[in-house]
Amino acid sequence: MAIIVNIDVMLAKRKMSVSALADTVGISLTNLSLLKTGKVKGVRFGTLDGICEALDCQPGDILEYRPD
Amino acid sequence: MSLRTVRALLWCAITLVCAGSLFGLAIVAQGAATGSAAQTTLPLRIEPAEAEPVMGRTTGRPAGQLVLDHGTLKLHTGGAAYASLQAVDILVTGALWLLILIKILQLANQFASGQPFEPQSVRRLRFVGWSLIALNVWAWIRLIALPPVALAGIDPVVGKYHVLPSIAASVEGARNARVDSTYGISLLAVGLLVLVLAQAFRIGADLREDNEAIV
Repeated sequence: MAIIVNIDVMLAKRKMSVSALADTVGISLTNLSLLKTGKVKGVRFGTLDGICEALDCQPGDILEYRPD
Repeated sequence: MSLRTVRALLWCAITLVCAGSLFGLAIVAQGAATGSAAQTTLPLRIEPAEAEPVMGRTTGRPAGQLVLDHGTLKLHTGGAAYASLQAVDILVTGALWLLILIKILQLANQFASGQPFEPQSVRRLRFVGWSLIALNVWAWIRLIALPPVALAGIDPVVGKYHVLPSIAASVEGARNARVDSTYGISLLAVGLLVLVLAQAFRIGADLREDNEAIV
């Protein structure tokens, strides 16, 4: 898919673990791992809002469009 | 109605279909084994019908008509061809109903498990829909095919009546007793409705799949 999820980059920048982010956002570690690896069909605005708040970033910092 | 009740009723229906089919096949087999003639009863529609005037009790004037336009033909004939067709009819109808009921039972079990919108539900509903349509088409075939086979073994002239299959040219000057076949479309309509429901379940299954892939 042309949409790349850069959560791991932001996690590294903020020095935050995946499990800590999952706890803060309120989603399961499994779902966050699926999102991180781009194995999902979509992201709810609520989840995106929680991630942006936890990582203090913009949606564009997490999601990137890269043509195939 | 709870799913538990539905399942209990479905089991009753499955038992009845099995018992009915086996009973019917046993009668046909017994007839074939003993060489006795197949028995059948055919409803008849009489054209032109005899009519008697109905008089008013107090007025003594005509108040209507008593029309003798229906009858019943009881046959003890038909031969091996008719008995074979009866056996095929029982087998096809019984097997289709049994499969339909089993699929509905499987659907009820799946719904009870809390997962109604599964691709399997769609496949089962489609099977039920097409089977109901097939049953309706088979009923038409039976109505067209069976009576002529039964009538082939008898003299069509019975007293003042001329016995005819449901689809046949009338005999001029005779009182025609035609086999009264009703070509119903109830099962066809229900089958189409089930196919539409299957489409709704397909959309539901797709939505559920999408929803599960959204975090």
